[in-house]
Amino acid sequence: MNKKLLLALPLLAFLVLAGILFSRLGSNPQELPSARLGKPLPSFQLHALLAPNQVLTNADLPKQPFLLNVWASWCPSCAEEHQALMALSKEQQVVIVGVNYKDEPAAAQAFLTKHGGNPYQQIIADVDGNLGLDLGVYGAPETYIVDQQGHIRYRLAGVVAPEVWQQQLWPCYQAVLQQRESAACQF
Amino acid sequence: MSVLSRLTQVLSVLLLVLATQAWAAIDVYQFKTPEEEARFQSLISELRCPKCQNQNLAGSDAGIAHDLKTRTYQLMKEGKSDNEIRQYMIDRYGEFITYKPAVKSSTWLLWFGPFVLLVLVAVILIWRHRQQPTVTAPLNPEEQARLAALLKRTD
Repeated sequence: MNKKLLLALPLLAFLVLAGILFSRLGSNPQELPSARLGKPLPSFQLHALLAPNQVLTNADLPKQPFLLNVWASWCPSCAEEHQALMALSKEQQVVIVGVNYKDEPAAAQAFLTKHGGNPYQQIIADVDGNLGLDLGVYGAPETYIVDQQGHIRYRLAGVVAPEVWQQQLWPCYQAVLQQRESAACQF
Repeated sequence: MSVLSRLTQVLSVLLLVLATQAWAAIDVYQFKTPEEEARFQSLISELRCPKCQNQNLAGSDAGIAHDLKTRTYQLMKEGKSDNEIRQYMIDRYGEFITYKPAVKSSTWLLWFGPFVLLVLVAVILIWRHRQQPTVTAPLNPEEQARLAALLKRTD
């Protein structure tokens, strides 16, 4: 009996490993969990993209839950999600603050014009990418859900497509609006 | 040798030499001492490029790798220690960014798993070896003769 049990061990180990690997099928190996979850947004002092004489700091951020969207004119996926962001902002009254990441102001403004408007309440011109680095940004686009206290509750490294909003962001955003904790959020 | 074949020869050598040149963008950082440069190289070798699939900062051309290399250099210039720089990166990008994750409860399996597995295999092997039946007593001359006769028959 003991021997049978021992012989079954390799099979058991295989099944456990197969189970673990199967559960990871389909998930993107490039996705990193954010190290900033639950932490306040980093402090910054940067110019506003559309008003270059204006300096924005954390005090200028909305005092309500909002989306922080990291985008740039050189990022093709950002063009893809622009429509979705416009719809969220204009039709669903979602407050979106943009971080224009490592971009040229002229190119950024041309991007907005070209794609049909500005979904952002404000746009922070993170020309050198310092704010991005403090956030742990490793590519564009990225979208963060920030709660009333200014803490990061969700980080999406990818495009805000309608399905992504429905299945990933909205459940957390809803909880954040209601000021409650939720398993739908990453923190 | 004809002109054409000589030309082909020269051209081939030239192409081979050119093929060894890498035209990747090279980040240039100034260091005061070789020790400082060695320290920088060591740091960017142990930090992972967050966007790449298993490349360190030293070996990556990605934009984010360049940014993190520059930031590492800046932090060194500011007088930060190696540990402070590592912690700076981990605070922003998580444990994933270092090729030497900290030894804590969440990484025990990673650090000790292989040794545990090795010990387990060794234990199983020793146990199996003990389980084998001991050598039987040698045959007496009568039995030896019988054995020889039997073996002859099966030839």
